Amino acid sequence: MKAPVPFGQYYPGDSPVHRLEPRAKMGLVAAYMVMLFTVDGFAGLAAASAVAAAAVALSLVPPRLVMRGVRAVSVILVFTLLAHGLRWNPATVTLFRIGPVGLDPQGVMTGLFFAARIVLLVVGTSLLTLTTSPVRLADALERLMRPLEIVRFPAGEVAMMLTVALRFIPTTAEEAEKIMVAQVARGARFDKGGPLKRARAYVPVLVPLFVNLFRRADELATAMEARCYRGGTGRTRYTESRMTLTDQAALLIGVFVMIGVGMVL
Amino acid sequence: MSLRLTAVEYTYAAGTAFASRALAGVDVAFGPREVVLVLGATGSGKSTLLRMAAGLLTPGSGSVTLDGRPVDGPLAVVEPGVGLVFQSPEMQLFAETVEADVAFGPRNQGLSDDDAHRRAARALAAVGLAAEGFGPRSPFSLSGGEARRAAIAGILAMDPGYLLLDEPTAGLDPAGRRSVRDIVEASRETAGVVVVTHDAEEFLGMADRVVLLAGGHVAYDGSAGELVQHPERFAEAGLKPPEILRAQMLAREAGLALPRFAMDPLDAAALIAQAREAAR
Repeated sequence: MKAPVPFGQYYPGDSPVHRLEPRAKMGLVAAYMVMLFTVDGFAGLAAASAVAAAAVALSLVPPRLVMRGVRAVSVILVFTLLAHGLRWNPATVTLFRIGPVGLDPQGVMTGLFFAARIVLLVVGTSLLTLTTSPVRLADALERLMRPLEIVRFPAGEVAMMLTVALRFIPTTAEEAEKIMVAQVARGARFDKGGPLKRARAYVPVLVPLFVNLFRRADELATAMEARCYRGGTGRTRYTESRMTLTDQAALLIGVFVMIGVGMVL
Repeated sequence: MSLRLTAVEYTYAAGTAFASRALAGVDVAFGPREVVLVLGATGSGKSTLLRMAAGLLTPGSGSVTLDGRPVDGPLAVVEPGVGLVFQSPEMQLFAETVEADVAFGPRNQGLSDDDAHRRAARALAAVGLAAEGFGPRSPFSLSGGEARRAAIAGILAMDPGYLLLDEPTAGLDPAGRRSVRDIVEASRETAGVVVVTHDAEEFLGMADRVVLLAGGHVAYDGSAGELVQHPERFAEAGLKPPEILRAQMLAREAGLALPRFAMDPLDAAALIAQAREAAR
């Protein structure tokens, strides 16, 4: 039997990383990404690895969960390595050759550098979603987008759409899993045949799923109107997340250190 | 000959922070042509038990056997098949016509188009939806009760030896609930029927046996008749006894010497009247 449709990866906890204000976390992740893309040697990557390892340790999230995201991009990693490492008719020294194709040590090192950069990128962004609930992330995005309301950007509406979408992703995933199991109970198989047959096997899942989604969206819109929803402008929040001094200090120091590392190494 | 679950245990999201034990060492067997009612409060493990009995969940420990053979996958396409009607099964309707949807299961069983459509027509008739009228309609044009019956027909068309129904009357109007009860009553002629429900009153009258689940354990497994005579067992499983039994329990508490409990309202009224007469 298949495992339930996987969704989301928030790992509840009360670590310092979990408690950090989501906007501060997003700022730190942004600085971490700048560091990753500005370092140009393995020393820089080692520093970034130390930052990532420290953050993972502080978060108390099991490392295997953090590495799950890396598994998802394993194809990209292999492609990166091969794209840099393989040479057609190499004139220089090769690690080995098969016919006209050779593995170039210099290329392998470059491939390793870029692959490590991707791994560290995934680890950093995974840690953000592992330690911040989707709703808190959406709240933080809304707060960050608020200044754009000056140029008539519908920050409130976008945030509401995001919140509703995030709220319904687990429900939809659960429903997809239920429908899949129900069709399996009617003898459907999703693991047999070629790609086309497998894709067609999902029709009995996707049709009812979308019908139910549209029905629910319609009902939700009516229910929101019935409760006087008229758009996002001027709406207040039941809970307002606030940046504490600790959050601000962590953000400032983190950004300063990481940008500094990126410039120096 | 039975569908048997022996010492089955199941934990959702085992080994994670979200681990939740649904079944803890459950022994239960369902025989052919008997109607078994599985009752329990929310989270007692009823739906997990059904999924496991249909081969859709593999127990963490323990075993599931069908007529003595170990089960290691979905039982929809084996002989005798185990058909599971999920809660709100109308959610799974997908085909362009009701008939094509009902024929989906038989087709998966490897039947020819003609045989599958013959089975579909028979199943639709069994649930009171004439194939001529309802067969060519879109399943999305049916009312709630009709869609529920069409979905049940989709399972009946597979000729299951055991029919498992998860909350089959939830969300239906009185007429819809009555038609589902009729389907269950008719199905016992050809299959073992297991009904999981919150609403004991709905099916207790027709059940041969009742299994009460509480916190993933079997709190009671015995005849429906015996359970009716011991309504306090419901409370032990965290459930309220059916209204008709509660009325008789109150009558006893008020001092009336009822010789027994009855599920039939007229029977219960007669017992109370006799007890009042005797009290005078």
